[in-house]
Amino acid sequence: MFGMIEALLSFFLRQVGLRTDAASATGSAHAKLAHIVANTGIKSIQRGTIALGVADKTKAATISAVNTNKAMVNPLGVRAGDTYASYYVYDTYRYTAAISHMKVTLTLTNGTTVTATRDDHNDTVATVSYEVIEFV
Amino acid sequence: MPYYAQIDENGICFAVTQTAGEINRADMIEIDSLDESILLKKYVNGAWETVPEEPQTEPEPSE
Repeated sequence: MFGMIEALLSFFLRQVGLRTDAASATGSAHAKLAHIVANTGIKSIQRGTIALGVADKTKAATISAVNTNKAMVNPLGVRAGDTYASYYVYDTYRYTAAISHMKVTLTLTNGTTVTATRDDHNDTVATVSYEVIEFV
Repeated sequence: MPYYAQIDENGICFAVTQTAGEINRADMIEIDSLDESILLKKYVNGAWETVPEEPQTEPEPSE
């Protein structure tokens, strides 16, 4: 009877493990928890702003190296001045707001580059802010 | 985490970045903060100079 209890206690102790167990995906409960802690969460956050000049449709900014399989780029917003376009209808010129220069996309081009791109510049500056989050 | 201003071939700042680590590149200039006021300014002898704007012309109406 005593031997059976001892065997059960030994079994549970092996399953739970010790706080000092090294991180392992296949070890004791303590080792697995250490493995989860070591392999989840945020590794780094980088932030920046790219300015697209009056004649720029694209610009590429350099960041510290990230693993593109574990990183994402978040746009934080675009600022740009107003501009307008004209068109001719029934013998009169009409003007309308032009906003294509404000439509900027961001791409994590590679592990060290964030690229801002727009289809038209409309002779107007646009600044776009972003953050790159890399996970463990 | 360091801050950098990135300049183009004409010395114009087109990006400011807070990076995760140091970057050693000729076009990356270390700065004190994520200072967006230097965007589109020119880096000359360690200082940021405002670049004169091109005179704006009214767009020609097109038919």
